[in-house]
Amino acid sequence: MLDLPTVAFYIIAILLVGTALAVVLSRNIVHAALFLAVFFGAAAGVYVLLNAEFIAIVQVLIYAGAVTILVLFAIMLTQNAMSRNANPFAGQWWLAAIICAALAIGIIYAVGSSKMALLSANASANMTTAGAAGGSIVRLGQLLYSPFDYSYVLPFEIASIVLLVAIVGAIVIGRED
Amino acid sequence: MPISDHVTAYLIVSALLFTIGAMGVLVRRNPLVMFMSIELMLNAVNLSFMAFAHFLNSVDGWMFVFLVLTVAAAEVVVGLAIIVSIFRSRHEIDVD
Amino acid sequence: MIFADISPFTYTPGATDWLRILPELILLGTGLLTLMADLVAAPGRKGWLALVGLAGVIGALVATVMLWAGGTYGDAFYGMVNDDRVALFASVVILFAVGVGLLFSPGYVERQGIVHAGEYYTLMILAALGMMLMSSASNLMMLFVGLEILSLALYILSAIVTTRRRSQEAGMKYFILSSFASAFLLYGMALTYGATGKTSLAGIRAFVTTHAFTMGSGFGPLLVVALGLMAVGFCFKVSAIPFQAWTPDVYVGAPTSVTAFMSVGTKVAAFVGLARVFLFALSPLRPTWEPVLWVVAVLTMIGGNLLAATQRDVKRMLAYSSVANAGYMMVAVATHTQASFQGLLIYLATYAAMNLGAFGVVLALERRDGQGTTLDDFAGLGRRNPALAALMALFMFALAGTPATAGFIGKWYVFYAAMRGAHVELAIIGLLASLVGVYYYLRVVWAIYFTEPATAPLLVTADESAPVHEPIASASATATGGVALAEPATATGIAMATRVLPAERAPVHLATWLGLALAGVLTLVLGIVPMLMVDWALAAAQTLVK
Repeated sequence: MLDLPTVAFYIIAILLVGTALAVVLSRNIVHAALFLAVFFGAAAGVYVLLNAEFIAIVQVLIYAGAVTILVLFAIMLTQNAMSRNANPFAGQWWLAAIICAALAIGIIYAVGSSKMALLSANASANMTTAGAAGGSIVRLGQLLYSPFDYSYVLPFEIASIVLLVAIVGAIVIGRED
Repeated sequence: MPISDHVTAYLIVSALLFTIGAMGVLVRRNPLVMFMSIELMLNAVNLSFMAFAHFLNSVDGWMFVFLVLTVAAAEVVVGLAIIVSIFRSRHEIDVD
Repeated sequence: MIFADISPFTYTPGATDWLRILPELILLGTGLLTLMADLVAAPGRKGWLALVGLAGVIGALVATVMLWAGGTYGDAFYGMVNDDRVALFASVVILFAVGVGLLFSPGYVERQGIVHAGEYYTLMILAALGMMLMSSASNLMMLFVGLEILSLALYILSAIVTTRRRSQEAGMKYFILSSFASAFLLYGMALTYGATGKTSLAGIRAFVTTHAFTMGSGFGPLLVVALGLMAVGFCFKVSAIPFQAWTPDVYVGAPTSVTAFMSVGTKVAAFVGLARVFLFALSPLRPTWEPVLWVVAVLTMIGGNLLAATQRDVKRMLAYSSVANAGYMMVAVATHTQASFQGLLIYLATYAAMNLGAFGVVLALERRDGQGTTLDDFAGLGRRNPALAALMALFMFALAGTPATAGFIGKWYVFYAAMRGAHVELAIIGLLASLVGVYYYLRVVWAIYFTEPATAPLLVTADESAPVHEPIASASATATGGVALAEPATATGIAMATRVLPAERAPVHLATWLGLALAGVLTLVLGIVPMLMVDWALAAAQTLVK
């Protein structure tokens, strides 16, 4: 039985894995950046499938928009400096590939065998927002400002310090004088 | 039950993306590509968070994703600034 | 109407919440203050900003001590931070590290020609803020945010000497590998969240205590993989073998004042974070992670010491020595008892004093071009600068673990706890590994007192095969700190610059002396009368490890 979400999921999943491989393997760095943009967009598609429209929008704005542009700028600024090295891959690529394959198999095995636990945990999951109506924005806002037993308001505020550090850092590193 | 309702499907995709990203960091020598691979890894983690949040019916995962987005944006700024400034002082970027 | 059944804003942090993060708030205020004071500071005369920062650090220290004395610790901000005694103990160590780091900075920043001195101090203070937040986190999210604040600030600080290529490369290397590690840690957090449905450490602990854990079924495999991923992330951050590859290059490339601060600060934050996750939240899963950390501890102790023993450059040797020390601390985590956690806290405090001091001496000897820290440069220091030589000898003896110094106390408590915690083998391996440590630490002392400089500081003795005027040009150009002349091109060039212009060594800045004295006094005091610290560490350990 193939319904629309399933078909969409398959398409997006193939797109995600394909573009991710393209980013890692393509020799042309501009191509890699463009594949990255497609990847970010496809990830937003998954979030829509998971009923998180707000996060999907933010994903498109920040990742597909801002981050891609910044990466392209960085490529533009450093284009002449890109290594003309014949082999863009490190010497022990096969070792890394083996490690990563083992990692993937391990995680997939764990995920696969933990399926039942997740579904049963579903019933006993925290009830903070169980009664909440509305979309993802409302539920996020509730978690921040009208908490049941905990609230993420402090990390949310502290994220501003992260941004402050980044701003100061970009100026320190980037300014020429 | 369609496959898109299975948390496992999302998590497998996430695991694949994460390891592809990790491989990119390990095998590529261009810092910009390594940097893009790190973004792949962070997005894979976000995907896991979203899937878990959906199937656990809790929005904690969303909050996490929200925060990772912020932090990733900050990292992009700093990381690219460092890479570009190295380019200015030295006309060859390569990491072993 | 969709909003009808939604409760209004019900959350307002109370006075206790703010009080409990008072040290962090003071530090944040100080960071912002230095950022603004930088605007009115005259270029080139920004040393007083360090004093502003120092005042804030002392303020935060007072607040921390008051919180400890008042005993009003506990959760704040709805389970996000928990400034228990562990966090307060860690805060004191971190504040000491950043305080001494700030004292080291004015002279060094001036000498290295760091243009962005104001931002330098701000970032240092904000990095310390991130460390404190990380060590007081009681939620995975706070742990991650704190880690990211400190990491971002340290990437920038490592790369801040824009005229020195090595510094920028250090920044980039640190950035890429540390973000890589952060991604692993984050993925581990995601799987933990998926397996337990919780993000708070207490919630995770409650879940794994009440639900039967089996390796092979249920949520077991997921949590095992999560543990592995988080272990990888933390091991990267504390630079444990096999994830230490970034450490030497970053520690050597970064400005020495930053290296001194971060070698201590990141270890405190990351180890306390590691303890909170592994010893507290996931302690029921001990049989799973204990063998892994055991292997890491053994590898790190042996590998770190052997690698350090092969170094000729003292700064690089200290970088590897910090790897080796991470191994001793890992022993404490792997042992997993209350006593061993107490040992970890003691080790962190003592390590802070002696390691900051050792890097401080290196900083005092380092020249403008970032050279001048090899064993040859230490030769004859005993005559040239007796005070500096005595301090370096003290720190080296302390790091080697000599009794009556701080280093002995730290090792004693960690290894004793390991023996009582049924990990005799770890204690024995640790002791044998520290014997190697004795060799390379005391080699520095030997160089200081019992060797002469390789060549007399005269031009005539310069290598005959090279034109005589070249080293002068190279050295004097370096002295003017030109942009393009960051480093002499060849090794012989460096060696000759060393011989030609020993007078280039600037006099040690007063603030640097103060920092060194502070570290030295603490190294002795913690070594001779450690009882107070030991009691505090015990009180702290009791709150986390039952």
